[in-house]
Amino acid sequence: MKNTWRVILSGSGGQGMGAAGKILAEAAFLQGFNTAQSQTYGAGARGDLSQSGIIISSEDILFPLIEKPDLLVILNNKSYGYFAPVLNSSGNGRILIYDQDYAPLPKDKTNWSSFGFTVVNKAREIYSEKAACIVVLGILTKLWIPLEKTNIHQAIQETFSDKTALRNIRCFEEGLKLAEN
Amino acid sequence: MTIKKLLTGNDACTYAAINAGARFFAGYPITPATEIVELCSELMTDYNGIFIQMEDEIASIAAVIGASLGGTKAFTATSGPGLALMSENIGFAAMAEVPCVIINVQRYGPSTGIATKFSQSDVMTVRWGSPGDHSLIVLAPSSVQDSYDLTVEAFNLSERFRTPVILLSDAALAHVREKVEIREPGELDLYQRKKPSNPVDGYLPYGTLHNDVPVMSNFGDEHILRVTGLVHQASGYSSDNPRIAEELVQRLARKIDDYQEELPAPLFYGNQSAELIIVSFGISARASLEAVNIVNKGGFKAGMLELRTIWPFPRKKVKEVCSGAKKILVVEANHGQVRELLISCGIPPEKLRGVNKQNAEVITPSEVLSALKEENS
Repeated sequence: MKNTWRVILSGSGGQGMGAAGKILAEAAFLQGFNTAQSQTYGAGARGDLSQSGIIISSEDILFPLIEKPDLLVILNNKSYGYFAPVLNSSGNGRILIYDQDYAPLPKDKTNWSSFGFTVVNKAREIYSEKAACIVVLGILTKLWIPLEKTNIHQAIQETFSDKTALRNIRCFEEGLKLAEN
Repeated sequence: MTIKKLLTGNDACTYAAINAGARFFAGYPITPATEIVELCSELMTDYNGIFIQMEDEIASIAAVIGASLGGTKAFTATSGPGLALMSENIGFAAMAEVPCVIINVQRYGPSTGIATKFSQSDVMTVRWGSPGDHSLIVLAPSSVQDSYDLTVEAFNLSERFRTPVILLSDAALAHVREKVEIREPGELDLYQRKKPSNPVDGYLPYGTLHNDVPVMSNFGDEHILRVTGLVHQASGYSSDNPRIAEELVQRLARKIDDYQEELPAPLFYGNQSAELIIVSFGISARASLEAVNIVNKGGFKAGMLELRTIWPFPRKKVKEVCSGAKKILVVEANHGQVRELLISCGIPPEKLRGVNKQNAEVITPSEVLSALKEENS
């Protein structure tokens, strides 16, 4: 039984990496997991490459930052360059999730198990690109990370004001649906 | 009550300061310490405290010293370039024996370096930044929980020893979110500043000593307080008498150095009889701990000593732990500042190996692991 998940969300500043990372960590915390979350600090968070790393574990987290993720989410092409060394390394049990419109998987890029979704356009359709990573949370929790839906909802409500929280919850629910198909 | 929360290192320091009783913050925002300033601006008024954004770091520490002399627990937060500006007044606080806490969130240097990036290179600066002979207390947290606990401890020690205490955090720890158990004021042992019980007439602010620390009144109390950065007599009036000068500076060192058992002790992890020992601190100690944990599970024996009090340097414990080791790895994100301290403890340089990183990124568990494996082979 897997008991530790190391997740990195990577994309352009403004796609909600920081907020979604914090929400994922908060939901895990609400569910009694140990967790550690970090995110790009500085100009990158507003620019072309922004990331958030979340460790969720039922064991003590000794080192709180991520050297190599188990679940890597890529929402822009630039992220492939940054993570090239990681994606070239052994993909045994590791998973890549990418946006199939804005970050299509380059041929022979990796031997990791890879899954493409329409994340950014879905977020735009319902609310805004800002919630792209919130859509991703739906996919991650449906397919890989055993977090209760109610905990994600609560974490979203703690992060955003009422109206924005509702919109983000819709994005999260769409993510769950995308994962079902 | 104890509350569990998910907080960043910077936020944990701020809540800890408030819960330790700090009701005055003066600072000048600087990356990566800005969130402390920001949160203080929100919280201080809720607690009937005072928050002032000053014009610079010189004024910030000066205001903190003034508030503390008035009897309020006071603190500031900064990073390398700001700490440099505070140096003179940190010396003043040491000389005049004013309790205060400075949170130094280390960033990459020298000078303005890389504002948003990580480093552990202020080990020597925090100790020797201001001129003259005096002791000083510096504590280094390695987790968000530690950021909370050691900030509370920093306030207690500053009051107990009437000295500036510096919390040595860093850009990585400042922004990582982890679970923290927040013990609220009712659950915390808080040290209350001693007040004079002498008659008001003829009161000497530096005249009554308790464990080498003067029992001083606050500004505004009926016991008249005189404070100066000049060498001073028991009355607080300045003096150039050689005997008074020598007595004063020797006491400033002794009052802390002779009471080191009251300071947070280093923590030992792993195998006590290991021939390979790591000495580390801060977030680098977390990477070291993971590496030590991996090798001890299968393979070979290793141990790790995490320094929590950096200054005064815990020589006795370091020497004791290192005495039986074949090789000592000093894991720190700088050019080898703690390694130098180990040499000054009499540990032969050939027994030491620095595991250093100076590219503004944190030292990772796999880097420590490779160093351990190389030394074991």
